[in-house]
Amino acid sequence: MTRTDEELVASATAGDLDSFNQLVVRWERPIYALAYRTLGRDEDARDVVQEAFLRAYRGLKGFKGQAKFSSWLYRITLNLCRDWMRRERRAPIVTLPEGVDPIEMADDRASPAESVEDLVARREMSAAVARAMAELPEEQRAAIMLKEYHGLTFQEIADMLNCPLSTVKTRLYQGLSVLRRRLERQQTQDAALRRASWESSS
Amino acid sequence: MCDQREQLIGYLYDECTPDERRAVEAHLGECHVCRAEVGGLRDVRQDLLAWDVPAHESVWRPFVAPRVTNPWRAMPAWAMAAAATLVFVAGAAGGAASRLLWPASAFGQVATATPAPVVLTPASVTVGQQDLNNLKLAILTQVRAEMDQRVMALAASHDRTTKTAADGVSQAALRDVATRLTAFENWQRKQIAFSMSLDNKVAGIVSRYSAMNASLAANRQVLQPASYGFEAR
Repeated sequence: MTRTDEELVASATAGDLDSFNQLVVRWERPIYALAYRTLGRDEDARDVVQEAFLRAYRGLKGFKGQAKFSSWLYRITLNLCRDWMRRERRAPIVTLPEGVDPIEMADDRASPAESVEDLVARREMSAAVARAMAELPEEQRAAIMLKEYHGLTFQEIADMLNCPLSTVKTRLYQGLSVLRRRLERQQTQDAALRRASWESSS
Repeated sequence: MCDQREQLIGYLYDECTPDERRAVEAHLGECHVCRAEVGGLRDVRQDLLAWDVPAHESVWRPFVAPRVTNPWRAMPAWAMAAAATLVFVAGAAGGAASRLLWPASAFGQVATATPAPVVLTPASVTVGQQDLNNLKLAILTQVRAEMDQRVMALAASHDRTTKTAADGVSQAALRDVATRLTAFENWQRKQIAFSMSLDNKVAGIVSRYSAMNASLAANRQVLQPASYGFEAR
């Protein structure tokens, strides 16, 4: 039977290392995703993941279950990312899509039914989203990531970011509105570029 | 409604009460601006799904508890079995020898008494040098007493023989006595050697036991979480 996070946390606090390892296995992927999307670089995200779990282990005795274990981990991760960016004095890095190699890209298709054209479009959209998110203010970016990619409730985000519920909703609304404008503009530019490229080649 | 973003966001993420939902839906039916706004936000949410995260191997090296090695595990099982067999055989041989050399009557009283059960626990296995000395002294005292008894008995027999038999017979009896005494002295030397070797073995076991205790205490310290190099704070 699968043990809950709370049960694993209780065992880990009592000194059971295997329980903590199970928590890591369960949450490593989401924590990495949060760190990667915040920092934009694989190596930095990996360092943050390791540091986040080490901090969590050190702080287990102080974790009294006032929030979900996952929320607590997300908060640790976001704090580490913020420290990281301040130390590096930089904004999130946006990794541009690599050169288009149809054979290589065929392995990256989400499903065998996805055409290479769809895959190229998905990659371009991924890069466009990353660019647009990197330009958002930190608070809006954090709220959108926690909501869209990690499924936290408004209240959980408010508790984590230490702000009122209404502030969370406002940040989400403003962030999504900015993203919408930027992505629409980006898509318009991409379409114009494709049209120009098609016209020059024909 | 148009300036109430909170309601629209709650509706967009389906985190609103049924009443709030009905109110927003009623408004969207009338306001094309808000309807377009919600549609646009839904599209953005769809676009956000395209943001991939690269696949990666686990970056975590699982915690592993330090292995606790029992000190006695350093000794191979066959060696422990051999040692146990040696002790058992030596004990059995000693018991058999004492039965042969001492009259059964000497042990009658002891044999009929019910032996009290002795429970040995690690804490109670504390054999000191004084105990070994006492044991050795007791063995030697008993051996000497038995030897004296036998010499007296032989002397009395010799007296009777000289009174009642010829000189040739008495000479044969004396040779017999000398042979028996030599055999007895040899046996006594072996007993003393065995006692000394037992003394050494027990001292070795006592020393080993102390080392095991020290090692066990050290392992307990190693098991503390603080020894992983990071402390909870």
